[in-house]
Amino acid sequence: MRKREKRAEREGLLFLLPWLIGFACFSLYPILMSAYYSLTDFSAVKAPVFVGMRNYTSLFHDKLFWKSIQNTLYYTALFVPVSISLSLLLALLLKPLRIGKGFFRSVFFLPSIFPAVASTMVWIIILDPLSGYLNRFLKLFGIPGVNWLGDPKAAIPALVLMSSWGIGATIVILLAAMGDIPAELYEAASLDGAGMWRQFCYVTIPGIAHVLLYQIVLSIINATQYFTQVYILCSAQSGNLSSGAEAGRGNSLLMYPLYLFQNAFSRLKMGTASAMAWILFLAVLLFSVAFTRIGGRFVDEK
Amino acid sequence: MKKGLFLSVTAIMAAALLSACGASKSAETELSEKESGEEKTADAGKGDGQEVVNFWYLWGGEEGKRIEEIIDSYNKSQDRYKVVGLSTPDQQKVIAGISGGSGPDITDDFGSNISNYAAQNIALPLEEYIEKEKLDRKLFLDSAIAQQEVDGKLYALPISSNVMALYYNKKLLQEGGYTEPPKTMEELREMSKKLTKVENGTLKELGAPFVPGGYAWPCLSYAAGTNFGTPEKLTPDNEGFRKTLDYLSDYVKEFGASSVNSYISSGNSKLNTAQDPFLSGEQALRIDGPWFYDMAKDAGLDFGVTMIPSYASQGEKHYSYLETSNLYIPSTAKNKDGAWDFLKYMTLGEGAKDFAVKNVQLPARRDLLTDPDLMEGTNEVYREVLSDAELVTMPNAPFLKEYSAAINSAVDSVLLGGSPEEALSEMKKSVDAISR
Repeated sequence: MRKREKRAEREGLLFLLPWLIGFACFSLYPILMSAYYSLTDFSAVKAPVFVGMRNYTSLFHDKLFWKSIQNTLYYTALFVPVSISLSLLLALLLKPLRIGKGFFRSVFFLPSIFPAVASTMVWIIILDPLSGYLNRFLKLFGIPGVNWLGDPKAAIPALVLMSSWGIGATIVILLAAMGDIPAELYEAASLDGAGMWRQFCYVTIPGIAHVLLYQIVLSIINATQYFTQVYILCSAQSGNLSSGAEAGRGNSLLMYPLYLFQNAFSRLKMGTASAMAWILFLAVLLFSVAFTRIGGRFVDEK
Repeated sequence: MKKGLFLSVTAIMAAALLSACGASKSAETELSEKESGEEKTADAGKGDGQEVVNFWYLWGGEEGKRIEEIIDSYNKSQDRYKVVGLSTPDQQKVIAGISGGSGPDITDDFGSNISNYAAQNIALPLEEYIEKEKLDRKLFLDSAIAQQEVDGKLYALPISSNVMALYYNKKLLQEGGYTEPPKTMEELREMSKKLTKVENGTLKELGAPFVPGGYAWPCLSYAAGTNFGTPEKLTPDNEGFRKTLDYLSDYVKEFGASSVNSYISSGNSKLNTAQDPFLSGEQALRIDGPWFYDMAKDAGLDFGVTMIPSYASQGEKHYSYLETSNLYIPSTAKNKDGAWDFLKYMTLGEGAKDFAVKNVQLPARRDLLTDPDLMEGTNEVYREVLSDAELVTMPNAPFLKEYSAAINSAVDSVLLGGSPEEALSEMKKSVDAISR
C-alpha cells in the first residue's frame, strides 16, 4: 500500500513537472531575484551592486512614494465598497428576471472584454471637462461641470467611476452564487413571515458570503494593481512629448504601480522598483491573510 | 481545507503583483508590434558574406518607411555591412532588448535621455571611434552635440534638432486689437490676458501659450536668459522660472483656477487633433515645434509663426528649448564596428541630409542649415531659431526625470491656485532630495 502511494506520488509529480519547471523559471526565479535586486543598485544592464536597505530607506524619504500610497489607499477604499455593492445590487435585480436575464448579463459583462487601452481612450472623451458627455449630461440637471481628471479632488472618484464600468465579471459570479442557494430556504423563510429585506439579510447574504468575501479580497488586490488606465490617462493629460514623469495634475493620478513603473522603465532604477514591488507584495499578503482570517469567521464553512 | 486553499489562492494572486506591470506593458508592445508590420529576421542577408547590423528605430508609419529607404541607400553605398531595420516605437522594449543582450547594434533616442543611459551603462562611449575619425565637433550645432556629452565623453551623435517657435492666430489677434505678434515677453503676458475670453465662468478662448504644457514652461522660463542649471548645480529657482510661475499665477487669479485648469486639461488631451484648441481657432498664442506648422496649415487657419520673444532686459537675444534626436550604440551591441559605420553615415555622411529632407526635420549639423534642399521643406522661422537663438537644453543629469517631475509639480501647484513662493520652496526641497 505504501509503495503504491509512493508511486502515485512520483507519477503525480511527473505530471506536474512541466508546470513546475515553468513556474520555477518564469515565476519563482524572477520573484526571488527581485528580492535580491531590491537590495542593489541595478539598472537592468549594469551589474547589480549590493547597497543593503538603501532602496527601502530612500523610498521612505520620498514624497512621491507616500503620495502614491495615499492615492492607492484612497482609490481602494472608494472602489471596493462601490464596486461590490453595485455588483450586488445589479445581481439582485437580475436574479428574479425570467426573460432577458442572459441579455442583461451580457450587457453588463461586455465592458470587461474591451481592451483597457481602448476603453480608457473612450473615457477620456466622456470625462472631458469642457465637451465631455458626462458633464453635458449633468448640465441637463443644472449641475456644474467637473474637471474629472484634471482636478486633484475629483481624479480618484473619476477613476472609480471609470472602473465601475468593468464590474460585469463580479455580477456574473455573484449571480451564480445566488443561484446555488436552495429555493427551499427562501420558501421556508417566507412561510416564517420574512419579507424581501429579511430574506436578503438572512438567506441571500449568508448563502453567498464565501463568494462575496473572495470577491472583496480579489477586488482589493486588483485595486492595488491599478495601472494600465492611469498610465494612459497621465500620458494623455500632460501634453508632454515623452517625459516619463507624468502623474496627473498635482500627482493626483500617481498610483503605486505607476510610480513603480516609472522607477523601473523611465528612471531605470530597477533596484528601487523591486523594493517597491516587495513592499506592495508583503503589504497585500499580510492584509489578505488577516482579512480572510477575520472575514472567515463570518462565513459558514460548508 | 477550504480556508487553506483560499489562503494559497490569495497568496498566488498577490504574487502575481510582481508581474503585473510587465503584463500591462506587453499589451502595449503588442500594439506597437502591429504598427511595425511584419518582423524581419536578423539573419537576412547573412548569406552574401556581409556582416549584419541590427538597427531598431522608434519611428513608425510613414516615417518608418522613409527610414527604410535611407537604410537601403546605405546598404547600396557599401558592401561590407548590411543594416537590417526594425521599427520598435516603444523605448522600454528597446531597453529590455539591450539589457537581455538580444537588442540592437544601433538605435535612436532623445538627447535628454543619454545621460541616464550613460550612467546605467546602456549606451557605449564613442571616444575610441571619434578619435580614430578625428571628428570635428564644430560640424554640429554646439548645444546639439553638447547634449550627447556626459563627463567629457560623447555617447551619441545627434541626427535632428527640435526647437520651438511661437504660433499666433491672426484673426484672434485682430479681434483683440493687435496687428503684430508680441515683441517681448512682457507684451506676451499682457496680450495673453486680453486675448482670453470667458463666458459664464467658463474659459472659451485661451490667450496664453499654456497648451501644450510640456515644453511651454521651459521655453517661457528661458526667455529671461536663465536656465535650470547643470547636473552639478541645479537652479530650480532661476529667475525665468520664477517669472513664469508669477505669470501663471497672475493669469489664474484673473480667470479662476478651475476654469483655467479645465481648459488646459481638456486641451492637452486633444493635442494635434481637430479639437486641438489652436487648430480649432480657440487659442491665440501657442508654443510648438516644427511638426505643428503643417497641421496648422491643413486646419485652414490664418496664422503666423515667429521666434519666442524674450523679456525686455534681454534686448535682441532669443532663446529656445532644444531636444535632439540621436543615434547611440548600446553597450551590449554585437557588431559595434558595423554600428559605428552606419552611425557615421547617418550623422556625418549622406544619411544626415537624406534623413532631414525626407522627414522634413531640422538638422543638427551646421552645414545643413543653409542647404538649399532643406530650405524647401522646413519653415524659415525654425531655421532662424537654430542659427540665431541661444539653444538651451535641460541639464544633462541622470536624474532629469525626477527633476522634470519636480518642475511639473511646481507648475501644477500654481495652476491649482497656490502661491509661486510656496511652489518654489516645495520644489527646492524635492530637488535637494534628488541631487543628494
